[in-house]
Amino acid sequence: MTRPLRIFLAEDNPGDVELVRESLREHHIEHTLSVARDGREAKRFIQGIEEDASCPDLFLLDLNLPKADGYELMDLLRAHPLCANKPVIVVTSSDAKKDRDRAAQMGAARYFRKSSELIEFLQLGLLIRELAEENGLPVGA
Amino acid sequence: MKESADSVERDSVVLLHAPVGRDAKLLHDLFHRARIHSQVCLTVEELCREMGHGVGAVFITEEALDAESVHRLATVLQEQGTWSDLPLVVLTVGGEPSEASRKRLARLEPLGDLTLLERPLRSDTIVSAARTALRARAKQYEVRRRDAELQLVTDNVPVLISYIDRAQVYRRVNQTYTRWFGLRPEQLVGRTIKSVVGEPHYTAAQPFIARALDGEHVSFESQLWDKDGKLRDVAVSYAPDRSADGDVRGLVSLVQDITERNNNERALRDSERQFRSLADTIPNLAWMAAADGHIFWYNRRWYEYTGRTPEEMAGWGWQSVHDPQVLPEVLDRWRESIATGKPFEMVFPLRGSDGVFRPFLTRIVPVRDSSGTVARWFGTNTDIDEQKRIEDALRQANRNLEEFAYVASHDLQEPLRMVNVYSQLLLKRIGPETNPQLQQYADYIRTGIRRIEELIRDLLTYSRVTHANGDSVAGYADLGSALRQALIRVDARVQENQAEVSFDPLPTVSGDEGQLSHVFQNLLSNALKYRKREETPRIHITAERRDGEWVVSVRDNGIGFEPEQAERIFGLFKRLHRDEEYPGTGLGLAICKHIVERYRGRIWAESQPGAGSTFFVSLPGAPCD
Repeated sequence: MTRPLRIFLAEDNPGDVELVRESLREHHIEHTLSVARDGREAKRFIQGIEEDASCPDLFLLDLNLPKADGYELMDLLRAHPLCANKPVIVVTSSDAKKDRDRAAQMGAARYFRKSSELIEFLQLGLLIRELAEENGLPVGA
Repeated sequence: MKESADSVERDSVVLLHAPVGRDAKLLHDLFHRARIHSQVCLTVEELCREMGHGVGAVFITEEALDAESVHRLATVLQEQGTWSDLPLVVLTVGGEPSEASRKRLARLEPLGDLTLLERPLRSDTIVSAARTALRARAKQYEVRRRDAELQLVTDNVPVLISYIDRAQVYRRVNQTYTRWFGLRPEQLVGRTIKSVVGEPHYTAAQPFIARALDGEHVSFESQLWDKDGKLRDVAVSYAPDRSADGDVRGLVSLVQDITERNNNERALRDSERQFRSLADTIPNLAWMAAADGHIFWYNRRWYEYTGRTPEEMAGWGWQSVHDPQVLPEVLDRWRESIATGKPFEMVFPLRGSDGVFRPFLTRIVPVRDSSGTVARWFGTNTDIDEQKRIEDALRQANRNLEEFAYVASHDLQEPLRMVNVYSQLLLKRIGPETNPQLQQYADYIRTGIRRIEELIRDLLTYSRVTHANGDSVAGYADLGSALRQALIRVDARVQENQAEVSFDPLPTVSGDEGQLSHVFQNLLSNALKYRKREETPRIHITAERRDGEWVVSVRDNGIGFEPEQAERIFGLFKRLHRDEEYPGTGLGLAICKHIVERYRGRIWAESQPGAGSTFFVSLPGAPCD
């Protein structure tokens, strides 16, 4: 079991995409990252998952995406035969309670607020590692 | 009091004047045995002096009545009041009196109640004569007393009261005449009406005087000059005075000054006329109702708007221009106001002449008379159709603005986050060790961003005061609980400053607990921030009831500020200090003001530089407290 962790990221902000990569590097997580840059692209990606071997182990979803928001994506995942039980981390700049509540209610495993402090943002890597270990997923060294 | 007691005693004293022989002594002893008070006067001078002090009867021997004595006695008797008819008993010598003696007695006859007793006398005759005399005298004194009482009463009535005889001559006047005409009663009594009141008034009064002397009760209004030459309005009434056989002997005249009353009535009529013409020019509908709610007057605008006639509208006819759906509530509340005398305020639709209902703000206030009873109601209906539209538009504009502020500040935070996080990443990549200044630059970036972030956060809070909470302004907040929440949030800073915070029990008020907690948090933060370096910060929170409101105060012992800044500090972005002295956005107190005013409260501050500050928040109490 030494394959890299397969991660899917729906994120329109390239700056945040790079920060997610940085956090994975920071915490030495071996991974492959698929990125969708808007809601529609993400939908297409999810709908295109046909076999378990290509299905991501973990979904990182921004809530506020162009064309379709993160909640729609969660709905889609929950209805997908292969992805229904895959852990989801909501990665968002929103600190609103209603977003936290809704994410939890829709079955998101974690809620990560994008920080403006680098050190805090990089904690996302730690969160991913924890979650992967909880779910018996490969996270590398 | 003493005087009257004395005079009562004097009233039953018999004065004896019998200068020759033992008569005086004998009579005195005789009266003493019969328990009649008597006093012997040795000279006629003494007798006259004693008579002047009051006397029940005088016994005098004929031989004492020489010409000189009779003259003196007559003088004293003439000076008596009209009520007095002093019993005078003359003890004559037996046999026919001399001519001189008869003359002298005849002189006294009309001046007193003269009785002649011929000597020698039987003691029981004398005693009986004395008793009869004293009884008659007592009656005279009684009459005098009653007369004095009557005079006292009439003198103190602010009405001209007089008795006028058939010849239209004043027989008696009260003291009020003196005040009116400037003449004493004795200067008036005996004069004719015409000569006292003057020609014009007499001409007006004359027919009524004639009717009164014919036996009729009459009253009329006229005018009468007073002593200052002012022509005053008077109400006059005459009552005939009939003798036992029905003849009219004279009349009682009552004249009352009604100038002031007339002036008041005139002023009232004038002001009512002015009021009505004013009420006809205002753009509001206006009307007046009697105390029972019966409407007796509408202004012109009412008829113009409703297109109805006065006949249709009178009384309770106004119901026909009301919306039948709303009318029952209007009636209920109007009837309640009529029953309780409380003002009425309500918005309800009224149908215009074009058939369209428009909302009117209706206010009705009671007009009370001097005794506090509702005399009438005054109502206005103000067309708020236009006002309502403007208010709605304003509310919408405000909502849009807040929405904009909310979204804008939210969207501002994202790029800032990028700037901040990437400046840090940049530094991490390059490594601060390559150039020590890089760390400093990064710190400047970070400080700048922190500041913008704070600003955005406060702006968000400010816009959220109305934005996030919708219209939940109807709730109640336990201020004690709001304060505890705020204390938890500032706890770290309280510890760090080693501050002492104390508070009294706080009430429940109208408002939102979360938002009012935010107010406390801001005020506590300020108290901690603007502390004196060398002194332990002390903060005390208390509340007191003032004019139906709760006034909460937060007092500190901090650096304070100039009193003239007390208003300015609540303005948006208004700051008293440079950022490096005391950092801040200048929004904290503006947010507090915004929140407090949302709950119809007020916020203000009192301070002196170096003497600490007290912030006050007044809020309407919850109805249950």
